[in-house]
Amino acid sequence: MDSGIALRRFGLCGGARDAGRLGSDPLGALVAELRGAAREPALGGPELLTTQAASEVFAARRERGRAVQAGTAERDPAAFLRIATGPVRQQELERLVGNAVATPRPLEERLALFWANHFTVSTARAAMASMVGTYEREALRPRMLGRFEALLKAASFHPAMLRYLDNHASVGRNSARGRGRGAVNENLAREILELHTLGVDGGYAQADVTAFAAALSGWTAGVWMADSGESLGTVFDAARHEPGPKEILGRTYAQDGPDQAPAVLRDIARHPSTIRHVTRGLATHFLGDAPPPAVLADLAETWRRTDGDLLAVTEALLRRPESASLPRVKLRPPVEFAMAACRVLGHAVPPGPLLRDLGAMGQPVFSANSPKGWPEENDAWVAPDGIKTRLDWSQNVAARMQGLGDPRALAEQAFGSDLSDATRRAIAGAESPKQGIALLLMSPEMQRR
Amino acid sequence: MNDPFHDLAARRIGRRGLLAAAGPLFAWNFVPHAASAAGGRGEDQRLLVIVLRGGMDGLAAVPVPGDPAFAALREATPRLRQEMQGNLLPLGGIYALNGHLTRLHALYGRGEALIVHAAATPSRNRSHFEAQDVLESGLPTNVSNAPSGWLNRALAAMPRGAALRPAPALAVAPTIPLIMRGRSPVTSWQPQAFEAADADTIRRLQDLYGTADPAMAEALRRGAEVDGILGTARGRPGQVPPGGAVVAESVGAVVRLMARPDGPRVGVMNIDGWDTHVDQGFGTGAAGRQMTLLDYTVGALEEGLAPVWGSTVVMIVTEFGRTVRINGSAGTDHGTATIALLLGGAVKGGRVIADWPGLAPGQLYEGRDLAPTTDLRGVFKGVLAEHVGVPLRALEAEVFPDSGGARPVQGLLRA
Repeated sequence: MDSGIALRRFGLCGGARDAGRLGSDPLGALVAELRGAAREPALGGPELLTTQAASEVFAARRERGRAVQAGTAERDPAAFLRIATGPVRQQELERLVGNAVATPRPLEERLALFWANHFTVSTARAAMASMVGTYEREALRPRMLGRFEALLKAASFHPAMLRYLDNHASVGRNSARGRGRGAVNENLAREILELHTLGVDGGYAQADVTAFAAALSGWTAGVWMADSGESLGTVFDAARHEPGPKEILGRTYAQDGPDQAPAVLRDIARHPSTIRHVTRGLATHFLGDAPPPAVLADLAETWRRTDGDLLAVTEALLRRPESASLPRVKLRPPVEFAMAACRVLGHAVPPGPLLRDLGAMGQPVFSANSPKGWPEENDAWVAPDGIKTRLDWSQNVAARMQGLGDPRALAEQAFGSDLSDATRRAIAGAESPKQGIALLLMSPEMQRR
Repeated sequence: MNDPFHDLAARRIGRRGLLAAAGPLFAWNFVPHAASAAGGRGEDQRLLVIVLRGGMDGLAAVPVPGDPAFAALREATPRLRQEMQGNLLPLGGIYALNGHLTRLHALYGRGEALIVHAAATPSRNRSHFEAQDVLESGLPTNVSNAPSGWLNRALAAMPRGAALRPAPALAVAPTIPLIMRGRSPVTSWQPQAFEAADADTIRRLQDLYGTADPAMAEALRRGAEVDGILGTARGRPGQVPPGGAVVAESVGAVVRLMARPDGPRVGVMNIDGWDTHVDQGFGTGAAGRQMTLLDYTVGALEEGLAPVWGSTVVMIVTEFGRTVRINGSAGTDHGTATIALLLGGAVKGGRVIADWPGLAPGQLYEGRDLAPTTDLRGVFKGVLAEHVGVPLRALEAEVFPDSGGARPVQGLLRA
C-alpha cells in the first residue's frame, strides 16, 4: 500500500504529525493504528458532557416542571436547569477538529464518523439534542472495534437513541401503563432493522417490526425514579412493556421483561442479512459505490469466522489488495473535509464559525435530517452550492490563519505518493501563499479519497 | 424506497444551482395555468409557505376575548391582564389580534389577510418532531423517514407550459426542509457566511479540475456563475427587530428572488422560536418578541413582493398550538389547535374562518387544548386548487394521501 492511499482513503490527509508515521510500511502502520484504537479508544476529555449528567439535567427539569404544576415549587424560570444544544454542538465539534489535528490515529476518527452515521442520532430531536456527542463517545467509540453485537446493543439502548426514535413513548397495549389503550411505537424497531442491521431488503416483514417493537417497549430514558430518588439514563420500565412471548424473524422469544429485546438483538446481530448489509456499508464508505464482490465476500467471511469482530473485519478491509488499488472516487463530506483541512494545516479552526460554515456547506454536523444519516454515494456532495462554498471557506481559512507554512511543502506532506503533477504545478504557480493554500484545500487529492 | 436522499438532484442544485444550465437566470418555468381553462386565474402566481417552528400559540396571536371562558384562562395573572389591556386590535366578532401585529391588522382591514382559527394537522401527540413531520409530509400519521413533502408533490402536479422545463422552487434554509423535499427540483439558499472567493482563484481551480475532475469543474462553474448574481440578494429590509437578523436575511432573500420576473414561484422559509414554555407573556416576554418578528416579516413581504402582491398567497402555519392555560413558568405547553394565516393580494381576506369550538372546560381537547375543528390539509388543498390549479384528483391521490376527511376549503381566494 502506498502512503497516498493510507493518508487519503484511510485517513485525514497528512499534516506535520504524519511525517514518518507511515514509515516504509503504510499498511502495517494502519493495522497498528487500528489495534491501538481497539485497545485504548480516544474518548474525549473530562471537560465534556456525560450521558449521566445530561440525563440528570433532563430528569431534574421534568421533575421541577411537575413540582411547579403541583404548586410545591417556585415559579422561577431562572431556576430551570437546561443544557443548550448550541454550546454542546460547538464543544463536540471542537473535540472532533482537535482530534483531527492531534491524533496519532486518523483512521480511528474516520471510523467514528462512519459508525456515528450508521447509527445516526440527530439534534433534530430536541429532547436528546444535548446527547449527540456523549452518545458517540460513550456508546460507539469504545465498541466500534469490538463485537458488532455489543455495538448494536450500546447504540440501541443509549438514551439518545431511545429518545431519538421515540422508544420512550412506547407503551404496550396490555402493559400495566397501557391498560388496553397504549400503543407501541415502531420507530426504533423499524430503523434498527432497516438501517442498522438487516437492511431494507433484508427479509423482514411488518409483523417482525411490530413484534420487535413490542419486545423493545419499556426501554426508556431520562426518567426520574421516584422510589429510588435517582435519575437514570436508560431504564427498563416494566409497567410499559408489552407482556408475553414475541415471534420475530421466525424465532420465538419466550423470555419476558428486560431480557427479551437484548435476546432479539443478539440474534439480529448475527443474521446473514446483517452481515451483508453492514459489511457492504463499511466497504462502500471506504472504497466507493460498487465495492468488488471479492471484498464483500472476504469481509462477510471474516465476520462469520470471528462472530462479528469489527477489529478483524476492518483489518480485513485494509488488507484487501483492492483497497490499495481502486481509484479515489469519493468526495469527502463537509465535516470530514474540515477535519482533514485542519490536520493538513496543523490548526483547529474555531468551532463556532465552523458550525455555521458546515451548515453552509450542506452538512450541519450532528443534525442529519433523518435516521438514515448523511448520504454515502460517491458524488452525493458534488453540488454547485456546496463546492463553491467549500472554496469560499478554504480561501477564508487561508486568509484568517497565521503561520500556515509553505503550501508546496504542505501538499507533499498531505498526499504523499498521491500528489499529482497538475496539483503540484497549480500550487507552485499560485500568486500568493494564501491562494496556494486555497488551491491545496480544494485540490482533487484533498476533496476525494 | 423510503429514502429522503433518493432525489439527489434536489440536493445537488444548491444555492447557486439555480442556474440549471446555460440560459436565463432562474430557468423557472412553472407556468400557472394561464392557458388552462380550469380555475383560470390568468396571472403569474406566487405561493410562499412560512413554517413557524416550535408551536405557535394561536391564542396569543389571535385572542378570543369574546369567548366567555377566555378571560379566566388568559387574563389569569395581573401581568397578562395589564399587557392585554388596550393592546388588542379588534377583528370583529369574538376575535382580536395581538397588539404587536399592526401591519397584519392593516392587511386584514384591506381584505388581504385571512385567519383560520382552531386549525390543526392530523397529528395529536404534541411532539414537535412528529407534528412537524406530519405538517410537512402531508401524510395522515407520522412516518419516520418520510421521503417527500406535500409542497414538492404539489409542484409535480401543477400544470406547466408544455414546452417548458420544470424548474426549481426555493427553500430558504440551510438544508431543504421536509415540506419541500422530493422529486421536483428545489434550490436552497441561505445567507452567505463569508466572502466569496476571488475570480482568479476560481479560474486557477477551474483549470486544475478541468484536467483531473470534470464533475467538480462543472459544479464549480455553476456555483460561481449563480453566486455573482445572487450576491445582490443579500440585505435586510426595513427596521430589523432585536434578534431578528436571521429572519430578516431570509425574508430579504425571499422577496428579492420571488419578486423577480424570472424568479422562483413557490418558496418556503422558517421562523423559529415559538416553543414558549417559559415567560410567554402577551405584550412582553417571548410572545411579544415573536409577534414583533412576525409582524416585521409580514411588512417585509408586503413591501418586497409589492410588484407581484396581487397574485401572491403567503401561508403561515405551525406544527401545533399550545395549552389554553398558562403553566407554572408563565408559559404554555404543547397543545393542539392553533391559527393559520393567509396573506396576499390574491386572498379573500378580512375574515376569520373558524368553526369555533369554545374554551369552556368541557369544550377543550383532552381538557387542556383548543379543540381542532379545521384540518389544515383542507386549507392547503383549497389554496393549491384555487391558486395554482393543482387538480383535485392529484391533491387526493398524491399530495395528501388518505385525507378524504379533510375536504378542500372553498372560497379562500378572490374569484
